[in-house]
Amino acid sequence: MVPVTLAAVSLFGASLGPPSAAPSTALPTFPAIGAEGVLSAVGDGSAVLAGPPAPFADLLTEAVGQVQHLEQQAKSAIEGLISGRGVDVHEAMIASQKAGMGFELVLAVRNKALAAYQQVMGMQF
Amino acid sequence: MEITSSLSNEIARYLDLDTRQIQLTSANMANIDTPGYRAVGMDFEAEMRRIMAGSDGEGIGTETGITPHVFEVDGLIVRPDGNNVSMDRESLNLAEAQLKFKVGVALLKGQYTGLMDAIHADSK
Amino acid sequence: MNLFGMIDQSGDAMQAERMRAEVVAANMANAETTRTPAGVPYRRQHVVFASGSGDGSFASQLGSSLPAGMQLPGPLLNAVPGSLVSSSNVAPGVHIAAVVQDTAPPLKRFDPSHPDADAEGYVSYPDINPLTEMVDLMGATRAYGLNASAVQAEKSMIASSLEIGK
Repeated sequence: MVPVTLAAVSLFGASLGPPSAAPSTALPTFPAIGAEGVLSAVGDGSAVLAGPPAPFADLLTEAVGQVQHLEQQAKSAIEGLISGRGVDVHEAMIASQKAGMGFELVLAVRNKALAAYQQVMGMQF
Repeated sequence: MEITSSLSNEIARYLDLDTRQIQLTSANMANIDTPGYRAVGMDFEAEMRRIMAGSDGEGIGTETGITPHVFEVDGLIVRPDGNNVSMDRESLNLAEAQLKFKVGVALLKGQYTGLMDAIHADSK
Repeated sequence: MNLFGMIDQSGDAMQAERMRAEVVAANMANAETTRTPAGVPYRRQHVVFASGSGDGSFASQLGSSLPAGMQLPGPLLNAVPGSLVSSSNVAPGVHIAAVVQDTAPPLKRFDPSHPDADAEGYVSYPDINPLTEMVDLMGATRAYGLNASAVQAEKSMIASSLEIGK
């Protein structure tokens, strides 16, 4: 389960890049949580809080939306293939595989987040 | 309970239609030496489009099954004994139908696997 | 729409083609037979295909269509009739409707010293052209191979449909 742990690490640690506003055929990307919200240096040497970090619920919703878009693309590719509208077999296979992988990624993130939440709730102080 | 999506039902119909195509092709092959026999066939793409437009995710277990329009194929050379089955055409149709069946099975498997993964989400 | 019914249909066709090849073999074996147990020279035989499943047993039809005392090679004598029923209503299977004898007159060659020579010294040979028989055999072989590949295709389809559940 290496890809899953990589996804979890990148979620809670490093930045993956700017949040994608428009849907694309890439796998869902998760914008960095809190990395921009901690500290940023300004010209006069003082550190200012850059802005509120993106709420986690929105991230997950956006990722689910991207997966839904991938599923829609896969469905139209498959329908194009079976109705003989010129879609190649490999296109349909790749599209359906991407949708499957995107779904698995979001599922894994959801599981990890749930586990982390339960761990936090179990703390005693 | 609607456990399957309309897409997987469509893929199941695709497999049904492909089975029918193979049946026609093997009937033609069996009668390659029968005097007076004319090759039969069907328009696969047109039938598939008709199925996809007509149905809206009806169940796989329909009793009516697939009834495509089967007709005698034109444009084939008739030999002196009245038979017009072409060995090459039938072999190609057989190979193509076999591959289509494999594609349909792989797509259906992908659909069902995705669903099963979602059902077993918590045990991962 | 039964896949196993399709295998039956292709099996019918393969059986019919095999019978055709065996009749050709009988012709070639008896190309020089001037005297059969019936006393007449051998007559060339050929098969007639018909679509649809055959009624009655093939061996009985074969036996009734030959004149009495005709020699048959071993494999034809022991032929097991097919009892396969086709399940398709589009184009039912194929079967051999009859094994008919050629009505062409026998070839006559002048050879007074031959024991079977008639009053004028001519011996009657069957009019069997080896080239015709070979072409017939090649056609039967190709059609047999074609239907064998159809059986392979049907088998692989059933096997891959089992994978849906895996």
